[in-house]
Amino acid sequence: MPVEDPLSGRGYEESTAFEWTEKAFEKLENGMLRGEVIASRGIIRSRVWGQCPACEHDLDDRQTHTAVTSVFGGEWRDTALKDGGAGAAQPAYYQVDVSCGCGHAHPCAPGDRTGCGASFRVELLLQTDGSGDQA
Amino acid sequence: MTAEPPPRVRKPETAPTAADLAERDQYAIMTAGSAESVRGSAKTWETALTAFITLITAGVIIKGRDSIADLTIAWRLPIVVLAGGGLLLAVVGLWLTVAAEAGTHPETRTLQDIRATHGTFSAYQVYLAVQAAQRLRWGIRLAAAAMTLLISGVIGAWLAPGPATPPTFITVTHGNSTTCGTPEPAPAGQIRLSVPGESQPAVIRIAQITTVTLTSTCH
Repeated sequence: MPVEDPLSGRGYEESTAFEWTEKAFEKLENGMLRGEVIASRGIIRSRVWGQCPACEHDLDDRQTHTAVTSVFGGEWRDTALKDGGAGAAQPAYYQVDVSCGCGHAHPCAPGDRTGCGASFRVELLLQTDGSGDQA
Repeated sequence: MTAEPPPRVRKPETAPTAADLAERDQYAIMTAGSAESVRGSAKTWETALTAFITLITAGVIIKGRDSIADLTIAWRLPIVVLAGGGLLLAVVGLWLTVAAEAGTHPETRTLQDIRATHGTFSAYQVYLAVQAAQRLRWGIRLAAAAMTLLISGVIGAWLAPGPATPPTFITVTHGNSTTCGTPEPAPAGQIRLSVPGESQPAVIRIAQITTVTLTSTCH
């Protein structure tokens, strides 16, 4: 029988159910969850913070979505910047996959892992901070 | 009337799969290793470019011509431009390559500054990697141009004609005859020539000579 977190009522369970993505969207709309995707100096980063849609603990997820993938003759900018970044005719939305990293040790979590195990997807408007991202 | 700003969030059509999450985690590892990746690449390029430049410079030694001072100005000027330009580009190219590996502006930064400017430390690391990669790309381009110029200069030095051979023979016309040879000491009123192929020198009276011409050969 699964053990539940006394505060959230949820034990650790890895899940990518669409339910969490839907709940995350609702929380983003009502401000319980916040998110931003920013392109700065050719590098895209994201931050999603607020209530986890599953356990409702606070989470703060920061990711960098650009890497230097090939040094010679290759690309290092994320294609979203060139094909649909700010300045393009259509607004660009960026998908960010977030796993709950709320910092709480939920019952039955493997090892020292924190978070409730739920993962969800958000789609956020790509913004630029004007540091050379219009090229 | 102004257009409505686009909504800042959009409802995704699908949830992430386990594979999506695994790829995200793999990508995060690559992002974190961006700076090291570029530095490693720069080190390799620096070693290789130095070897190339050394090899080209050795080409001059193989030829054996250590001076272009005896070349005509028509050959000397372009060779100087090629070699000088090549060396200059090589220095700049290698400097950029070293800069990509080691950096050029050591300075202290606080995490707060980095977050204020770049958002996250991870984004800052990628920013440094991008800067290094840009330097490296220019370093490689300049070194390639330098090698082209240096090779052209070396080949030009190989092909350039050597200094003109000074004339060592004289051709003397006397009466109806013409004699060619190397001048030797002779008594007053005479010219004495050592003629190639002849065992005895030819002796010609100056009074009989009508023309004297300096030549580099007697053929």
